[in-house]
Amino acid sequence: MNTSSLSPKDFIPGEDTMSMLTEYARVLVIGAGGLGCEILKDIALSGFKDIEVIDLDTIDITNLNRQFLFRKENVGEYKAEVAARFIQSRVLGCKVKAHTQPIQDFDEDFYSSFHIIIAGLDNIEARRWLNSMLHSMVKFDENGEILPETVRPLIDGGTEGFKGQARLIIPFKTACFECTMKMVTPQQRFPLCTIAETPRLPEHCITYAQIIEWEKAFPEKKLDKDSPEDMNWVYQKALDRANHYGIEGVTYMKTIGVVKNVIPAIASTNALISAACVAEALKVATYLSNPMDNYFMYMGQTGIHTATIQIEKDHECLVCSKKPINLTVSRNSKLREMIDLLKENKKYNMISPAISGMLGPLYMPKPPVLEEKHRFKLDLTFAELIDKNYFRDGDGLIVTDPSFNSSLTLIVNLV
Amino acid sequence: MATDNKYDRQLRLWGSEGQHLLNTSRVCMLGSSGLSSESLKNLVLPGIGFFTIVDDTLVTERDLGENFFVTQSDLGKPRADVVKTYLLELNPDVQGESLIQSIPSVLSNPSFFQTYSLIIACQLSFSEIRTLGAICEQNNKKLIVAKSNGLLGYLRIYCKEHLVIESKPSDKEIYDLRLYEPFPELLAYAESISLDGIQDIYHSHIPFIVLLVKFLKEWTETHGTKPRNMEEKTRFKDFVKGKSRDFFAQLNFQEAVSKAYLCFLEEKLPSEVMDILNDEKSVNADVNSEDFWICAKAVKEFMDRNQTVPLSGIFSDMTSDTNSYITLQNIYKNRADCDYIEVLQNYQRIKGTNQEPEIVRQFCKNLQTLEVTRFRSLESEFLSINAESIDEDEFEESKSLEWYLALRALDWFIQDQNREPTQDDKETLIKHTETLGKSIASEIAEEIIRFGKSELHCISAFIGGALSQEAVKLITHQYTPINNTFLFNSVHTTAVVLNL
Ligand SMILES: [Zn+2]
Repeated sequence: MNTSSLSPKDFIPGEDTMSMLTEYARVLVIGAGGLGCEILKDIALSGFKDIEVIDLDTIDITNLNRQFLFRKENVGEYKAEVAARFIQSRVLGCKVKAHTQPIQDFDEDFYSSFHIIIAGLDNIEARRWLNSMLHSMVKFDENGEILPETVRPLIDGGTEGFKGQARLIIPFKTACFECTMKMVTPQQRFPLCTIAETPRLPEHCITYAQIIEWEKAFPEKKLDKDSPEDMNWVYQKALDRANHYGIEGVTYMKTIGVVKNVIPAIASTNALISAACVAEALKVATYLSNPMDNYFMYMGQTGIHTATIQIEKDHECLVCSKKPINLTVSRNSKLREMIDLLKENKKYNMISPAISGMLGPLYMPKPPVLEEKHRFKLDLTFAELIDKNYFRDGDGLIVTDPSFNSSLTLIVNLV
Repeated sequence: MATDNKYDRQLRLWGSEGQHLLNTSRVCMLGSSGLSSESLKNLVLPGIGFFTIVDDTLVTERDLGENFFVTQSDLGKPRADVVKTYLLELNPDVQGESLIQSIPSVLSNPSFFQTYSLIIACQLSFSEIRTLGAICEQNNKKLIVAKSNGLLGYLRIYCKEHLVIESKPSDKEIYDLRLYEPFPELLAYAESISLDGIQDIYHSHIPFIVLLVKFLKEWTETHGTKPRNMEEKTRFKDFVKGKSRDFFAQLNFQEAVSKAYLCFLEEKLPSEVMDILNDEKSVNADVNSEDFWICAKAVKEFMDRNQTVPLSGIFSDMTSDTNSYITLQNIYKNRADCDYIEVLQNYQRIKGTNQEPEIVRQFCKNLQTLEVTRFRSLESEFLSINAESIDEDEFEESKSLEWYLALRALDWFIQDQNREPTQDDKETLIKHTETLGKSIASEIAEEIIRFGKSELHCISAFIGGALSQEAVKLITHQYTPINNTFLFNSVHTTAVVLNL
């Protein structure tokens, strides 16, 4: 390729530059599923040679309609290992190292050792944690300026049916994953009274069988969503209930769909979203052209609609605003209410926050021994907590939650 | 694993009917570069029936960085054959063959394409595309043409006419409740329910449909007419609200107010659907017509006779007790069944058959979202770009058209001069795009020359992904394909649809 006026100023022409940049760049691919297989192929063919991949999943038969690095005989093996093996055998000179632990098992040094991180994840929790980790790695100088050598760009892709999105996150520069948590639509849940008292849809009967009837029949046993026996039991119970009410449409396939919250997935969408991600990786690594700013979405169900939008930073973002969480709390409200707020308010969306102050832990959700020890404080009001010397008005609190790799500061303003 | 069906994740989108059409499809792929194998990969995985790859190119060093379905040990072998072999490993259900023959020689024999349901052409030259376009137009074949150059790629669909019964629109919720003119069974049921003297819990579980039918009748009896203007409509909503016992606690009354607009509209079909029913193919449908058009005529006959549209039977969830919901659902279902039977009888008479194909029921059920798309032929596009359809005020579209024309100019140049252009040829390219309808910006010409014939894998993978999505739509007759060109520009990370 030759040079051109649309390329960034520091673009140095020549295929040598490109191959040099891609050859020495270390790329981490997170997820070796529908997106991961495609991402691995695309980066390997784009000239990257030093690649690592993390995925703790094993191969399931329903992966085979899109995860093209796997064959029927690989069912049950680790995705990361099979994928790494396949890419290395197909693309000469490409080195792919596989990891089969959860992403949370890796530390800052590990993530810092890569130049680019590309994620093809299927869950919010892992994305939030990864986003938080990459932000916590960034160091600042005495003037508060970012030290560029500590910044690792994250390219994140996601798909559902015919639609998907690819985005580029440059820690503290662009909006981050946490900035857009409000845009995430929560999984649909049916009100308990509907499923118990006024079921109308097959989904209501299936949810009833899964939650209420299973618990009643097997109080000691957790439903194994991957076991055909367990799923058949739920299906039969749902069917009985549906027949009793005259509700049509309970099938085994629908039962799996509802219980496992199955998201439709097809090869084509994964292919194009992964390609959009890797095109960005290539631009970030080689200055081939300007990287996108910063969110691309594709909707293919009705014609094709796409949009490239610049998502704004949330100035109160828990991860990238560098501001503590500020909560105004009544002296007469209980600690439990504040914790519920942290969990239920879309701004925080925490999973199980642990809170401690200058006077020691206020509440610990785990392990069970500690939870039990601190549980009584949940029903104390802040006035009582102060009285009993568990909390001091004006102290900052430290919150840790599985969504974040590091702790957050919480300022409570008592009124 | 809870299921042993490897297609589970896609069956949830296009169902077993769509899967059957895929399984029995025959795809012809012209070309075997990265773009071809990426496109075909995403069709082999979901399970097309059969494919043929046509190309006499041999594997070179360059392919190793562009095409995932060739390896070092394949250097010098026919590329179509190598790609075919690796693609077949992806899905044992799929059959495939390679034809080691030059593309021009295959194009000289139009009958070759007769047995294929879809033809895909990747990275063909300008004149090859033109010849193929003409063949598909004359033989009524579905065609997708695609290109990948540097950071740019596009795909273009042509078929004379594409018929879709299940368009499954993602952007609108479909209601067919007949609240404006309730049919007798619905009216009778609504009247059988009394709102007075019942406990609050029952009052809060009467479906909004029943509420609206009752209140609209009451309103009409008092006022002598249905709500006609903005003011009356607002008053009607207040009237509905006034009937609740505790509006903020009664979800069914809230639903009634938010769905009250359904009472104000006469149940008509969208004008695009009426155009389909009135299309001359529908009006003139006979024994030999396609089932789609016979169904259209059968529905039109129903409408002329009954002065109403066959009921779809579409019924969604609403606040209700189980019993009322099921009863109401059955009232709609039975009515839809009756209407369907009449349409079916019309269909059987026109077709001269006593069979009951599923298409008739599907047609009635999806009446509101039927689609017929007719594509502009490649030949007419080459004669003149459909420039009117491109809004000059839409900056992105207008810029994208320039990029597209730049690609066309590049194709033309390579064919005309038998070499790739250099920056010295910039003016020649710009001049050529003027003859195509729009002069391109100088920096676009520079960029196109910089790209030349280079094929970047991730651009091919993107276009291959979009292409296979469109191919699945064309094969399954579900969802809405683009009309007619999709351009991806990774220089600016934009993608647009152009109707050329
Ligand atoms: Zn943020």
